[in-house]
Amino acid sequence: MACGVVIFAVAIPVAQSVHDSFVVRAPKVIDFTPLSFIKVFDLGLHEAVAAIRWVSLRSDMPLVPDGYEKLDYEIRLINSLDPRFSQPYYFSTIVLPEIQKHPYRVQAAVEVGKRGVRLSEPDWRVPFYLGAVNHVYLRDRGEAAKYFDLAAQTTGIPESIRRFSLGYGIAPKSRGEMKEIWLAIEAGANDKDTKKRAEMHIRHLEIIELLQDAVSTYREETGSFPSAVEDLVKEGFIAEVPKSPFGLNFFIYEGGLIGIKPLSSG
Amino acid sequence: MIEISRLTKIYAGRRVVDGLSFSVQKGRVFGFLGQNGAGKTTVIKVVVGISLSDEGCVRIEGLPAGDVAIKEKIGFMPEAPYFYARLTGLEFLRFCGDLFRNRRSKDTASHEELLKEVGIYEARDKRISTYSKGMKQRLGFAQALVNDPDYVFLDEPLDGLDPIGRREIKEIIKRLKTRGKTIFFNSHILYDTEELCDDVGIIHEGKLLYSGPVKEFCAGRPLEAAFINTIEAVSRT
Amino acid sequence: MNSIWVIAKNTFKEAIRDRILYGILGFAVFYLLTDLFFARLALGDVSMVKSFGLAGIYVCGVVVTVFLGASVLYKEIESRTLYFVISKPVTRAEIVLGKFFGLFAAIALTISAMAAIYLGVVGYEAREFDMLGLLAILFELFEMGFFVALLLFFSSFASPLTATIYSSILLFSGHLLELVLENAAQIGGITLRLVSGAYYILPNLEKFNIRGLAAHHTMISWPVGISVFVYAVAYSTLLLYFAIICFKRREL
Repeated sequence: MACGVVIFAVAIPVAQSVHDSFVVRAPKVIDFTPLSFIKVFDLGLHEAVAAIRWVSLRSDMPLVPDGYEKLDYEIRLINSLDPRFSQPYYFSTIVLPEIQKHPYRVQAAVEVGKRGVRLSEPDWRVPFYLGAVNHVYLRDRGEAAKYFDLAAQTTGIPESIRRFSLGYGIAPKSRGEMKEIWLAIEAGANDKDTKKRAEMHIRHLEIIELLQDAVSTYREETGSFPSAVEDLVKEGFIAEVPKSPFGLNFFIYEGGLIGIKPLSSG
Repeated sequence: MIEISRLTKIYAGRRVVDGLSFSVQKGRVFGFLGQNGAGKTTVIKVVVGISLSDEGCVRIEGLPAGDVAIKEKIGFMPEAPYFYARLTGLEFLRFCGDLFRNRRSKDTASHEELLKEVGIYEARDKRISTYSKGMKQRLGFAQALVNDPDYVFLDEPLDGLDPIGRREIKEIIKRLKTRGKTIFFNSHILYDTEELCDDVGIIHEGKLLYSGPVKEFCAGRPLEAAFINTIEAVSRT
Repeated sequence: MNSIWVIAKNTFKEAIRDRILYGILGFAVFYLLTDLFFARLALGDVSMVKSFGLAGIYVCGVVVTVFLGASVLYKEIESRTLYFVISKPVTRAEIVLGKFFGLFAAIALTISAMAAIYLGVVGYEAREFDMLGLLAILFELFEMGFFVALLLFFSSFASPLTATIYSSILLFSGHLLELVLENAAQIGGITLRLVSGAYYILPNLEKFNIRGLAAHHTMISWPVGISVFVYAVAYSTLLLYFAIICFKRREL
């Protein structure tokens, strides 16, 4: 009997240690005092508390009842209670810049968005909306491209939005700049994934350039635009249609512009 | 046979039961008599294995009280019993019967038989919370008999019953005696227990004053008078 | 063994006929149905629906456990229903274990009923079978098993109110230990050593909480699952063992 007591008594700390060395803990947002109070008294029900606070904050948000400091604070509190909870990140990212009473609204939005990209459960909206804020309010194409690309990599992103994200900056007037941006990212990246991703984007842009040039030559020689990229191969302007690194199909708009579309939709 | 030797029980430094020794022969009806607070219930609790003695020992058929093997052969009815109020009478009896190894005590037909014997068969499927005090007393009696025990211990079996109820319970005790059961009951009511007992034990303030045949104790007087004389004799000294 | 089963069955029967249970269960059903309303506010974010629902099941589970568990031994000692049982060929250990399994079965049934409603609500909202949510509820059930053992342990020597207060303190502290350890790690020294001791010895209940993971589609690994199970079983067994020892010594 005593032996059994010892075995069970030893099993408790051992199980605790095994648990601790394998468990994946929620990512951390800097704690501040009232948060600790909530964590003390909610019996570990942080997610539910976060969800309820979020619903009430969301309905108040456009009104900013108690000033913007309260707003930033509440968002951070909710993020801290449930760091994986994606809706507060993406919703705040697109709504904050429109709150005119908030003096640093765009910065606040970017801050929340970045936190979301770091901590949230995978949700394409988090990076996508951050990309949109960068594009619309900050006109920072580099940052926008980076976050649109992140969104495109998130599982569960609708195909049409993935196509939009990957097509960001492929229009003729921005294509050159976009390529420069990705080259800079590639050169500055110190991790393999980012480098590879940048290379894929550069390749993608190069293919579009190549096809666009072929279309121009086709126009010069035949007097009309080809109706499909396959025509370029048939008439011998290019040897074959290069494979998109993102698994997309290329097509030609009526005015001769190269577009991209998902593989599945033919 | 039930043998009690030098049984002592101490509560908070007070010897509630003090060096009690007596025995009860098989097949006899033993009335354990004393005033309220004399220590009757404490003794019966030790004998049926609910509490442990501080000194001395209790043996039934040579086995120590509280032994699982002897518990198979005893039945006990507590004083003013409370029940699991949300069960029905029959469910409660089945629960009690299932706690024994004995096959017969698990048999629903014999449970119904028992409920008929104590006179609450009609109420067998009603919840115990709806029972009257007398019905609860009868159910308490029934559960004490569920394993067809050789030894039956009853704590104040006649307390709180109406005259008809008392007569019925006494009839059952007599019937059990004819079946050869040993019956040990506590009582502080004496005027109608004389006819039941073969032997009596008299306890006063934790000490045994008498143990033996009821006829010798009474010596021609009514039991109640003999009891009062004995107690008063002790109190005077 | 037979006696444990019989007592467990009886305890279960008594518990599920308790009106309080239906009161709490009715409240739980109402709460879980408000989850449907909450889903409208969540704007299609199923994780909120899940967090809300799982939290409700947990809170109601704790309330049911306290109501059923705190008074279970005490009530029987006070009302002397135990006299019936103890005078039968039953050991006190069998009584404690029978009470434990009976109560645990009643609580498991209550939680299963809530789980069924929860799965229905999530199924309706998200068109998915919430496997992870079910796992989180299973972990909640482990915690309730532990909690029943804790309540039985305290009620083997204390009154229901005291048992409830002690158990509640350990319940709150059990969900706090990780936080306290983190803070102590920043202080270091003797504080850290004391807190680490408490961390390993006191019941550490936050490990039973995988609701957040479940709501955000994150699976736990096998070692975590197994260590949580071992922890629950080892701790409950130890508590029951001590409950039996205390109960054996207790004067009835």
